[in-house]
Amino acid sequence: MARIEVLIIGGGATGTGIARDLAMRGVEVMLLEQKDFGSGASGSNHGVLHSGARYVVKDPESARQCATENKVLRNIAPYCLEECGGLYLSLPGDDDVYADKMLKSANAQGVQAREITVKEAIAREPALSPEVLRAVEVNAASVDAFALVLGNVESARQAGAELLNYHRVEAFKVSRGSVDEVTYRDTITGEVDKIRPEVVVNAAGAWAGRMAQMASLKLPLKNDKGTMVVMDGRITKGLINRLRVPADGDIIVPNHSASIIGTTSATLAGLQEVRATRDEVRSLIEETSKLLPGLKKARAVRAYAGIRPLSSESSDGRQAGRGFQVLDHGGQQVDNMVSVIGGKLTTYRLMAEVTADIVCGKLGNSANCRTASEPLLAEAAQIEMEGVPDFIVGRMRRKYGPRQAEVAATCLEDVRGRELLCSCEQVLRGEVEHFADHQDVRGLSDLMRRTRMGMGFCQSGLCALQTLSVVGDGLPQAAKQAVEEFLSERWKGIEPVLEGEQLRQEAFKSYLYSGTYRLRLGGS
Amino acid sequence: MRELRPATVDVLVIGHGASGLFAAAALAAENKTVAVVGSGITATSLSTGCVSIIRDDIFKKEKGRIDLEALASSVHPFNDIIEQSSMTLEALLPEMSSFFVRSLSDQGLEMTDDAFNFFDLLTNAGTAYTCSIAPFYTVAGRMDAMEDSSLALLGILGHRDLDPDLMVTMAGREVGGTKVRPYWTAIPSLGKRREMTALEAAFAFSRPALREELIEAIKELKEPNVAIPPIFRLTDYQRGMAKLCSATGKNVFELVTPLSLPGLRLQEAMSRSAGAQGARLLRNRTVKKLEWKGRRVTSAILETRTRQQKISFNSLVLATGDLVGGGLMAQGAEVRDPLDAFKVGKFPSDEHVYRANSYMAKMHDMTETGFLVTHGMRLLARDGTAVDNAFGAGAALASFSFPTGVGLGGSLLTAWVAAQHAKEVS
Repeated sequence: MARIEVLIIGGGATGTGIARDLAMRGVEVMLLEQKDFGSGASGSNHGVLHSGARYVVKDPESARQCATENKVLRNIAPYCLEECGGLYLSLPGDDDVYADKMLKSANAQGVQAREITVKEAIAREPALSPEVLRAVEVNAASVDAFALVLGNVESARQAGAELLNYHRVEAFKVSRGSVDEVTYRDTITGEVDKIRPEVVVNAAGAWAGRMAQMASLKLPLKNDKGTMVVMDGRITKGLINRLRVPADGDIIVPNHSASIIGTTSATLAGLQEVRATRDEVRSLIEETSKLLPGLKKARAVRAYAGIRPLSSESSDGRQAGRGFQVLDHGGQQVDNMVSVIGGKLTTYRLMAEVTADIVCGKLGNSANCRTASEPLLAEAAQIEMEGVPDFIVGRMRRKYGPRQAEVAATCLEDVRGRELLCSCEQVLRGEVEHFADHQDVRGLSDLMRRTRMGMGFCQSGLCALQTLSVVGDGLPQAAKQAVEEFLSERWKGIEPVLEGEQLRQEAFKSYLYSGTYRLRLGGS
Repeated sequence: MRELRPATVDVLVIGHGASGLFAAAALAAENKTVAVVGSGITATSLSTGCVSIIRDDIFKKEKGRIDLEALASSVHPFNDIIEQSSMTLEALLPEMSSFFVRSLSDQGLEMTDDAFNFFDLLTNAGTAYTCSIAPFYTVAGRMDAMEDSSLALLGILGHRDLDPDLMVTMAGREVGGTKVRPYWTAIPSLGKRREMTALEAAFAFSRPALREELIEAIKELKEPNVAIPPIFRLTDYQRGMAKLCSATGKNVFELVTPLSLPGLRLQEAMSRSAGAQGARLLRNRTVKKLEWKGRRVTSAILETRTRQQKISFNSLVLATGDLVGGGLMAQGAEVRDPLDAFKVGKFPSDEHVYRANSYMAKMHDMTETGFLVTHGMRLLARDGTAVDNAFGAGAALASFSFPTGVGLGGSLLTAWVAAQHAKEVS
């Protein structure tokens, strides 16, 4: 049976970050992800690179970590970020004392925060409500979480790690106080394999509790549901936060062609599939429109929900800290297993570093962490893309970073490579062609996460068929089934926002798909 | 805003899609003065242009025999409404079909009855493509006619209407015993443009140089049957296709996709037909408001961006299309009448097969909502009482919207019935 030094479970930002960190220290690593990389909480949050300001009052440690990591990520993965800046704004009725406390603690925690006049704030963000009372400027940014996770995957692979998506851990064999053997399954082909790891890292996010259970361990984990709504277009230049004790509906994040509004917080009884509901969407729009009245007229494109795997033994949801915990289960009779829980997307790298330090301690590896200073991906010479508008090249830069050159090469290779495949997100056919043959791509959603095709306001209208034309019969499922599954998955996010123009749009899509192509959407 | 001189007509038709134009043509043919008002793109022009007057699945096996029960369920719930006005489908259909054939063939739109029977009319506007990926409309007749049944799908780079790769992905490399191979060709004279719409393609291919290049590309293929994307306008269609066949010595025909030229062709043919019958088409105008006298609608205020006009009439046909066509409006999660004049709702109906999952339930819910009508296709006022002189037609009607409704053929049937009643009161 194959052996490996470290087996990581979970391919979100944390897991892939750990894989990168360990591989760069020369550790032999394998990572298993049950779905696609970044398809859990990493890909279903609002995509904020926190300044730390949100946590300075209640959770100074998280705030400090955010402030530090904010600088690190700007340095190592600038392409994943959009330096849009951020404002905290208070409205009549918001606690003035909280605002003062935030400014004061921010100073003490090294979080950059500066009060500006309301006039300055409105000059910067004309969509703001005239009711705004106070404004604080912070150095937040928006993050493309998919780009970040996939950047880590690529970097870890370059350092020699093996990362597999669509591979689910089925069982642990624990004997004499250690996990001896791990059984895993390719969820698409059903193939089963086993591996003997020296150390197991549980970075399974919401599923971390289930992984621990398989080793008869219990984690201090509380799953908390957060819902977000994607609004069409950019309503603000930068991030907008409500200057008050964190609550539902107090953040608006510009990201690519959309604005994401969030969030909610609700403790989940156990591990379950979460979906945004119509009520959550309505209340989020209602609440965020207090800061940006225009949101009431904006078009909601989709809603989604993610699970925050909070590390907390006492309090729920908003009260729980956003810090992380790395648990060495050595003290609980499983010597070779480490679990990492809690944390934020912003602090993923630090979480990976702390985890990797503990793992290296177990392995007797004394190499130092290099992830804070080395660029996520090494720069490559860029290719001139003749005949492609600058803004499309810019979008490609944002999605692929240094890998843009490889993607551009595919676009130029083929006569059709420069055709526009997805007009909402301005994705070229060649971009989809580039990823279509990749081993990680097992369905149309995987192409969407990599290229953003189908993510725009029409939510996969004609582009789904265009993509199908690119992949042909290169998918494990039959073409019709692949597109049905993809559109049915999209439907989950559309259903809670189905009103007005979005309803017309969807009716039109149903003409196209169920009417003409006789596809069966919405699952069975 | 400039006021234009008020006008008076026998019948005002609101909506210039297939249903509105068909009702207008029928009324004008009976010597009524008719005006058709409409704006924007119609759902008809976005359709594949397949007009199956009655779907083949509601026919009994024997040719020409209508399964009335199946028909009744397909035009549910209009069967009752039609019968309440002492008309029967059995009597209506032959009259309507022959009018349809006569009025459109005059406009150059070829009718194929594809070896089924008189009632199953497919226009050549919508042809084989839908058939190959969706068995709903069959092209069996055309494929059987091929001596050697291998078929080349020829995509034209830059013209999206026929994507051979997508087609073989969806339908396979063998369709009904015919071996299908995808090809792409670049037409040099199209130049470097990246993409074009079907209409732009039609204009481009009106140049002889491009047609010659296409003929050369077709000649190079080894298959005797070649499917191409739609590249001819209606006025050019017959001659253009005949030239392609004779110059290449192959059986060349077009395959269509949604959003392509065929819907535009049907739209064009139907507008010409209504015009030829004497209906006046008032394009780019919207109805701002309707005026009432008791239970009758008496006039409409029409608007362009700069002008206003009052049109008085004896009767009104409302054929504004469904939510997609813009005849209904979605406000929040509710479907509403943009004019706020007539009652919108659903017919009380049994639970439908489309309730299989949340997607189909929602779409069905939405397409089921529309204008309600009572005996003689009379629209209901907001208070639920029948309006004396206003009639509904087409996809604007509750439970008539595609795809859960019955499509263009069914819409035309309601337009025909509405026209018969509008004629009586004007």
